[in-house]
Amino acid sequence: MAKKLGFLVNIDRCIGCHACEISCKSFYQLEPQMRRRTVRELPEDMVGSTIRAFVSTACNHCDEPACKAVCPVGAYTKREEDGIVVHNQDLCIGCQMCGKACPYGVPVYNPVKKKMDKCSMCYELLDVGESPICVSKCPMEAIEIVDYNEVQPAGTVSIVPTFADPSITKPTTQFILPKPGKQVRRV
Amino acid sequence: MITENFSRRTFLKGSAALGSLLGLGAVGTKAAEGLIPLASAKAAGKKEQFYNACPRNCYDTCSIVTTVEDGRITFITGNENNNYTKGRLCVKGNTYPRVVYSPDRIKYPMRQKGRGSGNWERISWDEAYTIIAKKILDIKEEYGTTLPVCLNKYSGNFNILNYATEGMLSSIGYTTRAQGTPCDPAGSDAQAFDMGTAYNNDPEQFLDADYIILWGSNPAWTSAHSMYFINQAKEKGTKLVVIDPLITQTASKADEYIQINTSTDGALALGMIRYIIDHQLYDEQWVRDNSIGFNDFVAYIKNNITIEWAAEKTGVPKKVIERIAREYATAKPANIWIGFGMQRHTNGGAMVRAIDALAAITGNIGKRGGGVNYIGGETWGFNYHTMGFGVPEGTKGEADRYVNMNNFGAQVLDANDPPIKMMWIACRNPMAQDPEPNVVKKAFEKMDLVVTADLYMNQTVELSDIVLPVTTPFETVGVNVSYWHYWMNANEQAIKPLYETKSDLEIAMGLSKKLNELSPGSCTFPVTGSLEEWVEKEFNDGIREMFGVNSWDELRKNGGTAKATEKVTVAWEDLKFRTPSGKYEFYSEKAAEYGHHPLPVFVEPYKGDKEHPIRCMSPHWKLGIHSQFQHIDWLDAIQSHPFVEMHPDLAKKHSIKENDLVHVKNDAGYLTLPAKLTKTVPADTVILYEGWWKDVNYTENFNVKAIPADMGHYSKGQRGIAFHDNFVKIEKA
Amino acid sequence: MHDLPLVIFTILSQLLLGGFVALWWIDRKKGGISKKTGLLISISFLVLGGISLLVSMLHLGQPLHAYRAILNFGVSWLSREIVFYGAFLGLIALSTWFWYKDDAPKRRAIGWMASFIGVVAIFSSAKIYMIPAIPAWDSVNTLFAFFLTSLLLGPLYVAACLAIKRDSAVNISGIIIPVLFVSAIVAVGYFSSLNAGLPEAVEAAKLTFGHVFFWARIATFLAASGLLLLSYVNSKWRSVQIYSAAFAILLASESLGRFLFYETAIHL
Ligand SMILES: Nc1nc2c(c(=O)[nH]1)N[C@H]1C(S)=C(S)[C@@H](COP(=O)(O)OP(=O)(O)OC[C@H]3O[C@@H](n4cnc5c(=O)[nH]c(N)nc54)[C@H](O)[C@@H]3O)O[C@H]1N2
Ligand SMILES: Nc1nc2c(c(=O)[nH]1)N[C@H]1C(S)=C(S)[C@@H](COP(=O)(O)OP(=O)(O)OC[C@H]3O[C@@H](n4cnc5c(=O)[nH]c(N)nc54)[C@H](O)[C@@H]3O)O[C@H]1N2
Ligand code: SF4
Ligand code: SF4
Ligand code: SF4
Ligand code: SF4
Ligand code: SF4
Ligand SMILES: [Mo]
Repeated sequence: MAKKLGFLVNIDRCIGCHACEISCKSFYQLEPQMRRRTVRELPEDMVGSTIRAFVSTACNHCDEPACKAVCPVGAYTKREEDGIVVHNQDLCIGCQMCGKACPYGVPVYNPVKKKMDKCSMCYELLDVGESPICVSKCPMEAIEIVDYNEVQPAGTVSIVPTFADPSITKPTTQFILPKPGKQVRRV
Repeated sequence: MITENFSRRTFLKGSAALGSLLGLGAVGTKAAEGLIPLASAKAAGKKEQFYNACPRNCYDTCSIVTTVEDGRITFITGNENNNYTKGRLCVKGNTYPRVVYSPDRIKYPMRQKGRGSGNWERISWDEAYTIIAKKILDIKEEYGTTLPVCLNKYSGNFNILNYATEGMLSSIGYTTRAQGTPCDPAGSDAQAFDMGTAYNNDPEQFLDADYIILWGSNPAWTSAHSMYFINQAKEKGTKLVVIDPLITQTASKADEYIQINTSTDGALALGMIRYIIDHQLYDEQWVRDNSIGFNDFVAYIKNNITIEWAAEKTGVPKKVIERIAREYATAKPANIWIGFGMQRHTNGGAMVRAIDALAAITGNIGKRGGGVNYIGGETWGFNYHTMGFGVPEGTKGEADRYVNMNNFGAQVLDANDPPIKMMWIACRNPMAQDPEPNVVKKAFEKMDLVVTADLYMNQTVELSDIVLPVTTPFETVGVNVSYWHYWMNANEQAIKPLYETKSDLEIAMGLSKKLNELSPGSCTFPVTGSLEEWVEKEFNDGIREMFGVNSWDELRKNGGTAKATEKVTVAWEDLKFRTPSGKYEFYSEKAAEYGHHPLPVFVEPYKGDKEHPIRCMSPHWKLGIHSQFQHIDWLDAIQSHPFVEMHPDLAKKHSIKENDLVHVKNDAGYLTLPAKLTKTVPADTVILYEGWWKDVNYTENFNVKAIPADMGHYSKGQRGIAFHDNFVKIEKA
Repeated sequence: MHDLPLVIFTILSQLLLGGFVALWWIDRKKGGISKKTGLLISISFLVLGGISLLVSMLHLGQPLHAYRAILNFGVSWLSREIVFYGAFLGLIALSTWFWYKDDAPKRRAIGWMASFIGVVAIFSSAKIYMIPAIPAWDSVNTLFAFFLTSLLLGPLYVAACLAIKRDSAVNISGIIIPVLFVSAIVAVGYFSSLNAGLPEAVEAAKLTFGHVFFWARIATFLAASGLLLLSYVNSKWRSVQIYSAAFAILLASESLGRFLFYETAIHL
């Protein structure tokens, strides 16, 4: 059976350090204002007690990618073998419609190349048996690639605050929520 | 994303106002466009990899792999051969390509016409050396000594070869030196009184711990690689307790977080000790065999300390103190990590001594996975060859003169006989990192010549007469070790120095050459030698044996990194303490000699006055190391301006809303910053983070007073700074 | 500001549809448009169409590769918009040719086809924006708004042109006033639905109401309505000046509205 690759983002482990975002930026030599992966602050009372929590997201390699549906040049393909949504920059004419249509605002404009850019799940690395940069460079090992056709990890959720309604494009990303500890607060 | 859009919008609205208040230029797009596209670079050519070492003042001192394609760095990441770095870097390390190719780097030596005028002109290295050498010789002529030349160097780069700057100045005669550190002195003294020196277990041993207390330390931000080991331990069942007044990123990951009244940690440790003694939970044998003064200490505890009292002082309920004490005392081994942040108080050293005592009575010292871990220096036994050339023949005087780095401005102003006339600043940004920068500025104004060697046009460079552009680690050679982990990392030259930059060692050689040209014999510093030759001279038998590596060349050829032998990675395993008695000293005569109580006693915290009721802490920031990194455009794109964190209740009292501009002020100065409301901060405290923000006239120190910590004199020559005993008032701007 | 080309493109393309249909309709029903006037208006359509195409290409990162934009016709509404709009302009060109040839039957026959294709083009155009990622766009309002712009601007443009040429004094107000009325109702309905919608929609409404352009849009809308009402009740007011002024004001009003459409669009 074909794979269904997706990110599993462990917010319980994540320290909001942005190393994933910047290592990706460095590897792909992106312009300063561009991101293939974004780390976002979550509401501090999200799980009851006050904590500093962050979530790291990239392209969700959706089952029903909105980017693919709007692109006038057909620059997007969803790989049969693993479901990775690949953006072909050679075709792209930089109309930026995909960035508008993606509920997660994932495709971003490269102001120098004047074309769109998006997380590729580092398929070139995956294809040779290596991990994506953000996965191997996260200091907390908080990001994994999971074949969701193979495993259904327990205790994951498909939505967190700031993450758009998954019913629109059926994103593959799953999250592990923080498990807050006990807090002895000053009175 | 509403929140994002919204805050962006509101900030844009505020930014004009913020700009005028902070006196900053346009915060607009300063992104230099046109990075080399990876694909085309890849297609073109030759790909090489080099080992580098991150030389910043950071626990993690990472081993780095640098990819170079056609002479240009295309990727920088962690070295997988180093089990602590594990092939990963923190967010700052990941920005290194932009550090190297930053459009903001200083490219040539420059002279400023009118200090602070911004009127810089490019000069040649020869001109720069000539101006500086002439000034040194003039000073020597006029005063008969080089004491009017003052060096302020600290922690911008801990490459062992960078001690060349100290060596260079020692090679011209006796000079004045900024002594001490703003960092760890109080805690280091405390551990020196208790154990002879500060010495920590290998942080990889967090995995062996049964119980971990992070006591005023925030590794999620300040030591991400340690945080990994801590989290792994936690996931396999080790309990993680975090004690901090703030719900830090680290505290957010704790099994149990204890919000303590700031600067009362001594009371908490002593309260726990009282419980442990009362319940016979201490390690009687350990104390009997390995310590002195235990009985005196127990007497002090029984007469002065109750758990109720500790609860009252610390704000931590009695039940919690008792439970934590029992858990800690019965876990084997239990590991405490005391952060540097915790001891930046007027009673910081006393607090660390109390926590040390807690670890000692429970027999956790000298155990793998245990310990009371603070800092260590076991791996630093290099030759420091760059410092060993002695003063020129015929030099008058006996020794260097010291001014306190932690009260630098005032002491430079006070120095007479002879006065200080010239300053050399390297690896140091005193205008940003020192308390009371306004006083530092006055000291600068008194100088005939201020020379700063740096990479960027920061606040200190702006007030200098000459700036010398220095290399990044990737353009030079070196070797680095950590004050925390047990690895040694080689630093190879990955690319040729950009522009006209030079390393501090090359600058030392260059200046020496010029001095000897103008006045033969005036400087003993060698004028030749390749960087590889210099670095090889740092190795000695101690280093070879400790790391099992014969030379720098062997180190770089064999994976770029090596770990110290197991013999040193468990602190005090042999239980031979380096105190006068050779034992753990609950009762320390040394402490008494330095004016402290000989026992680890409770010392009252510093109190603000009525005018300034709010504590203002300035801890370390995740997207920067002090004044480095935050200004790099990749990080600027994440956070583009400084802010002040405060509790919504406090904000409400002052009618402050999210992003409103707030004045934070006291006698030392004031700052105007947008507010970030968060319940992670107690309601009697505001938080500013350290950092140099490009085009923003900000340093957290504008309103930080130079209040000394209690200890530091013994091991560091000078006391530390109580950065966090800073009190302010706030109002809506 | 980077959506400005889209503001211009959508307004122009919608104006063209309305204008073309109006000209064709008048030509077919009433006749009496001289060859010269018809040709001039038709050529002006072509010029505007050309401008709209150029401007829309400005919005692309790779204008030279704009031709590729038709590749994904099977899936992408943007491709479809381009194909149909291109065809629409082609048919206008053909119809212009028949103005030149003074071949009324042929141009009337083409008119049918062109009008239909034009409607499909504007429909496709609206569909581009009806995406869940931007709640403020994701409603039939977008469809209404685009066609209402056509109905408001197109006929008025043609009426103004005819009035300049004094070819025939059509009482265009009779058509436009009801459309203005419908527009106002649609707008009220739209903003109340935004306020009842997702947080991003509420935010979009809030941003719109807080924007000075919104109030300028309302003022211009009312001003144009006033003028047209006057011209409706009194034939003296059916002059070149009034029609041109009403057209200019309404064009400004619609452009401001369209600008806000892009500017206040809050992404999920
Ligand atoms: N990202 C990053 N990493 C760094 C640095 C950096 O600037 N940025 N700097 C490096 C250097 S030089 C240093 S010294 C270290 C510092 O490393 P840390 O000591 O981990 O960091 P700090 O932010 O100085 O302080 C840590 C914590 O001490 C807490 N604290 C303050 N007062 C008290 C108190 O009275 N009691 C208790 N229990 N806690 C208290 C603060 O709230 C803060 O959360 O980090 C190093 N690593
Ligand atoms: N308010 C407040 N102030 C603090 C602290 C706090 O917690 N609160 N923390 C204090 C602590 S713990 C510390 S350790 C100090 C750190 O204070 P500093 O040692 O001054 O720290 P940095 O800003 O890291 O580095 C200083 C400069 O070194 C430059 N540099 C980097 N590499 C090189 C090199 O190879 N050669 C030369 N010549 N220059 C180089 C950098 O560009 C930078 O400008 O700050 C202290 N200041
Ligand atoms: S690198 Fe890992 S820990 Fe850091 S923000 Fe990204 S996911 Fe979180
Ligand atoms: S997240 Fe966005 S860009 Fe990625 S596949 Fe889904 S719709 Fe496309
Ligand atoms: S920007 Fe490129 S990839 Fe995105 S929709 Fe337009 S042509 Fe397709
Ligand atoms: S998978 Fe690759 S491209 Fe996608 S965010 Fe991670 S590093 Fe970037
Ligand atoms: S700043 Fe510290 S953690 Fe980051 S790369 Fe350098 S040594 Fe490693
Ligand atoms: Mo430090």
